[in-house]
Amino acid sequence: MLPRPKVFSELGNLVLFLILEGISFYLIINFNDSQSKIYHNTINIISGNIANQVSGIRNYFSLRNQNIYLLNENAKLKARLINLAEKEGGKAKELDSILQYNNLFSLVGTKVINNSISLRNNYLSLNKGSKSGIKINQGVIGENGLVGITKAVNDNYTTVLSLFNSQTKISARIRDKGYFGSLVWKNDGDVRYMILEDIPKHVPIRLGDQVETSGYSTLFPGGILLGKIVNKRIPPGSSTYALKVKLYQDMTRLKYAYVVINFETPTLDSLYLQTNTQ
Amino acid sequence: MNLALLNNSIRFILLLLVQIIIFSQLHLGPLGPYYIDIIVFPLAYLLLPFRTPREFQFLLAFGSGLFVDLAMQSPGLHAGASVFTMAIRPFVLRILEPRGGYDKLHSPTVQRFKWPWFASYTSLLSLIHILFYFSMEVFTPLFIGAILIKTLLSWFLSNIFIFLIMIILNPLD
Repeated sequence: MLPRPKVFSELGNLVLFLILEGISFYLIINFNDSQSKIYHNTINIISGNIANQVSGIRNYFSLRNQNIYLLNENAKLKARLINLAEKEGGKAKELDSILQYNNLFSLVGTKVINNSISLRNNYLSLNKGSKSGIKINQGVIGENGLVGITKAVNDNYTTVLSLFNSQTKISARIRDKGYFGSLVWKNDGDVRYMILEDIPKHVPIRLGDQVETSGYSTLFPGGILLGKIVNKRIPPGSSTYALKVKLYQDMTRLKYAYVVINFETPTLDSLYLQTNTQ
Repeated sequence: MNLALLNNSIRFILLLLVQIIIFSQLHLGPLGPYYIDIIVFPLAYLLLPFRTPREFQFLLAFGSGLFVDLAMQSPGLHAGASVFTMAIRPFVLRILEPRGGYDKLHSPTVQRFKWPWFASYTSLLSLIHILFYFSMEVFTPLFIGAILIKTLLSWFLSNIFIFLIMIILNPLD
């Protein structure tokens, strides 16, 4: 080819080319809405398949523990159903009568096939997808608290934005006191604690107070216990607390999760759209 | 030497401004379901002189693409396409190489190479830019039909405008 003044070698040019294309690709999938969705969905399909295989093998070795776990979980849920049906006055003829009576939330039980907890932004994968009625922007709960919010869904798999993600913000309140704020995760890599923000500093807080979901968002039902306050602090210059909350849910050992389907979401969303000035 | 540099710089900036101020605001159509985007700014980096160092070629292509992207709110799409097209440019130049070879002081312009050569040069490379752009815009091979139709419509019209611009500017180098 043509002789040219050279700053880099040919290899250097190739590297420069790859770096620039890499930047472009990064920009495309991070700042363009539809491309970002397609990307996440594709990664979802690929990683979902791989993780499912790996998880299948891993599950085989922990079947015993899982059976015990499921047994406990089932027992708890059934007890709850019977209690509720009892409370309505009648006898518990059909266990699923709760769905017909109180047609607000239903749960889809799924297996966690991939779970990252060590990154700055963490994701999970679940082994069920839109075929089971899961959509994006639905809450996901575990046995002892919240897990995250669905981010991308295809037929058979779901990617969940974990609680331990800089984008996640959960509306939470202090049980029996009613003051509410936002529960966020500081990217410090410690998945045992989250920070409850926006509680005004005049509120009397005691260590050991329990934190639960507020129910103000359509994602999660209210009253799900999340954790307890272990440390209270007012950042200098701030008028609100930064409360350290120890989570009941141990994300590192999460095997099963439940996607919350809220039957009121479409109605509420259309209402929000009307009031949204954007 | 310095005059050529100045001319090139002014032309480069002018073409980018023409793209974002005029052509990016035109949305011709709809022709069926498609609007036709007119993309003429690849001319800005395609007219760079042969002697431009390769790494500056890449950086200028990336910068021009990113500039248009920011104006059109499509971050990364044109930048990626421009860098890719710039990577393909040597191969196209080799295919089109005239008998005497290239003079490294020249630029790929009409005055230097006449219309048939210039038309093949810009149409081939703008096709690559536009194809890459729409592939990234649609971002899934499932809609390959839409990608191709959009590419062809946009390519055809864009080249008409590229030739018009070239007739108006008609630079030597």
